[in-house]
Amino acid sequence: MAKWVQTCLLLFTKRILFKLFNLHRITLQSIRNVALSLATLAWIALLSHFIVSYFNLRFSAAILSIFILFGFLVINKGIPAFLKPTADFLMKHMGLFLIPAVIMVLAYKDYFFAHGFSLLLVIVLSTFVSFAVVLLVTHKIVNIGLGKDSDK
Amino acid sequence: MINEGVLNQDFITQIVLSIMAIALTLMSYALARRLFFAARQTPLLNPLFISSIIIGLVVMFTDTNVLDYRQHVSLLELFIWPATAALALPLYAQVDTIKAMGWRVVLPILIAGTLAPFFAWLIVWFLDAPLDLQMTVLVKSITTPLAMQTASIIGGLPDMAAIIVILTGIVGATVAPFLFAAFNIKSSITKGLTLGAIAHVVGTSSAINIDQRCGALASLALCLNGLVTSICLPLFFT
Repeated sequence: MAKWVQTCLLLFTKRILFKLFNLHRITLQSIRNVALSLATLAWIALLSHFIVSYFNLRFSAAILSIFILFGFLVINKGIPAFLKPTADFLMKHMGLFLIPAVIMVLAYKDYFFAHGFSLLLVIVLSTFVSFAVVLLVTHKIVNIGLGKDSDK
Repeated sequence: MINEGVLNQDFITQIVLSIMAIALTLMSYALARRLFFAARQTPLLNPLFISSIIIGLVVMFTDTNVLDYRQHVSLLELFIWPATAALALPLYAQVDTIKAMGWRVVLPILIAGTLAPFFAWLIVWFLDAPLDLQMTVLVKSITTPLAMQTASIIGGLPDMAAIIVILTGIVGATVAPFLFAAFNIKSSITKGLTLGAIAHVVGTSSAINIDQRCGALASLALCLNGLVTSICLPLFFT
């Protein structure tokens, strides 16, 4: 491919990504903060994995990592300023990191075809019914003793 | 020398394919998000759902092996771990609300943790589905890593569990705005608890986009429901 085509393609991709993800606000300070907060979060995730595997716990490392970070925040008596923007970004775009797992549906299409009706009912109907029932029950419970305040 | 050359060429090809796969994923997601906001956040245009369809179509039409695609974007998938750990932030920010609510936040999560697997299991049991599928659907409303672990302990299918969990999350996050409007639910607490307890990480991600309190309660529901379900199911089914 001609070099100028590659350059144009790269610039075009960069432009789209910058515009869509608002990356134009990036500064050297923010890059340092992103690196530092990613390292902190990755270290906590690794620590929780190590604890779960070392002690052979029947417990999710993902949940443990939430509790470890929560513990650090309690000890720190606040959320460090460098951590918040990156954490917010990761949480906001969590769906992006789940795409590879969703695509795996294609690898199991035979299983899906074999049990398609059951799976469809489980995924759509039971989720819809559980969501509706839990929503109504939660609404009743949350409102006990709060009245209309809970609607804020 | 020849082998080294072939190896290097193969290595470079793999890197190029990884970059292309990650770029495709980022572009599809960005496009799906744009579409979602352009359509005034229509639930049916959930960015995860739309971007997965786009990528799925590309994978199918280019005759790419799904496992190869997943391997190429494994770097992107790794970010789910720090992103999950980050859920502690909204939880910490709203700790006073959670303290003040007390049992009123714990009870709905426990009810959701019981009802969601029960409804799912009842359907597959009624349709006489195989036992491994019956065990797999029991973990449908807890977060992916936990669901895979629990499914393998109780005799389910871990990979299928991951897929069912994600699809449940997408359906939950998609139907949520319709149900909030239908039942006239305005409370961030109610919305957050239900989204986190039924639609786990995907629901929590949607909850964070509603407001901080909603995100915090969803995060709490995600943790507590995951904990209780992953502890209780092996006790009953092993």
